[in-house]
Amino acid sequence: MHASAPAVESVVSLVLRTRSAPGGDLQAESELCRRFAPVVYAFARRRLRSREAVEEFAQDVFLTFIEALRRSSIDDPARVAGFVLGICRNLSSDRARSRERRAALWDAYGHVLAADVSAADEGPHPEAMKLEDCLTQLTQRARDVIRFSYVEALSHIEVAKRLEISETNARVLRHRTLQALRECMTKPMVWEPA
Amino acid sequence: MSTPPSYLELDDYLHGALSDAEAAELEERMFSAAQTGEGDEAAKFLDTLQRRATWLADEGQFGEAYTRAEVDALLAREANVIHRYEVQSQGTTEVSAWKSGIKRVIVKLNIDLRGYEHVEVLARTLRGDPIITFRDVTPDPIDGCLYAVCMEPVARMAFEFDRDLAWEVTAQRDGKREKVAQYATKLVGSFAPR
Repeated sequence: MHASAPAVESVVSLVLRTRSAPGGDLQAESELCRRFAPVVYAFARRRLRSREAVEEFAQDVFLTFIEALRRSSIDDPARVAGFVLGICRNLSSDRARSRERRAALWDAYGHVLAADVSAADEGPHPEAMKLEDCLTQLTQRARDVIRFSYVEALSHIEVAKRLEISETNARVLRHRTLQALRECMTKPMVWEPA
Repeated sequence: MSTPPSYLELDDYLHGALSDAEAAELEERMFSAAQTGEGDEAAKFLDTLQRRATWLADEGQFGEAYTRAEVDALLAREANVIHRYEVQSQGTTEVSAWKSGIKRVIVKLNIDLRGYEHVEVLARTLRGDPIITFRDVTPDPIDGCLYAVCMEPVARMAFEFDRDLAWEVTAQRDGKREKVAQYATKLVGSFAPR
């Protein structure tokens, strides 16, 4: 008999849980940030290049989100995704936001931002080892396209220029490489004990 | 319900290949998928790729060979946490199990591959079953040797996978692929338990 996987609490339920805790429900808030982290970072990475700027933007989004949760200002929990996207868009268009506002939010809610949401990852994480294993099996050109696109965060036009190929060919190479990496990353490493 | 974005769509989004209108539409789908948790694998995969690839690049472990000068610089910085061994391009080289506390393992293959390109290193079991192929391994431009730097857990995993490994190096010269080395490694001793 197989043990069933633990049920994953819905985002709506997490939002409702934060409402019933006057001082804030740290676990629920942290989990909500974790759920939206990949898409908030994607939003930031589309617009910002440096790691520091991406981290700062994502933190600002989460701090504003946590403040809204604490103030119960999310009218419809079923539309929380739209709410978070709205925060992203507002912050993006309000680049002149004051440092003082950020500092105040950080003092109030910074402790909620768990390490796995915002901090850089340290140490040889199993995913990093697997990725390295997969990268060694790519051609140098394919490794270059991943480095330019996902480490140096270059645009598709800049990647094409660095590789000295057309934008169309660079896109095809990037997509093929991603497919190969995804396939490799979903399998156990050849060395991995069964 | 909207369709969650694929990772190829997200890749285009991240690298500026979509118009603002297309990007805005994709953001709606991306955040919606994060809320429901259905179809949000693409954003998670690319977020993981970005984080781990950046960490690997910072660590100099992006799946590429080192030059001798880079190895010397690494040894100067981290000598006490590096295990280094050399293998010959034919016959069997015994490799001693290393002590605990090692962070990286450096392998030097004594060979001269100057003038060759697209070097591939294939690992097999002694029965001949292929295990992994390292592609586009660049030899040192001065001495022609191959220098590989591996994160310790992966190197250890390889030797624990099979104490005896067969290796074959092929490379291209004048457009023709040649077998340039065939050798074996044998682990001697045992690793301390973790």
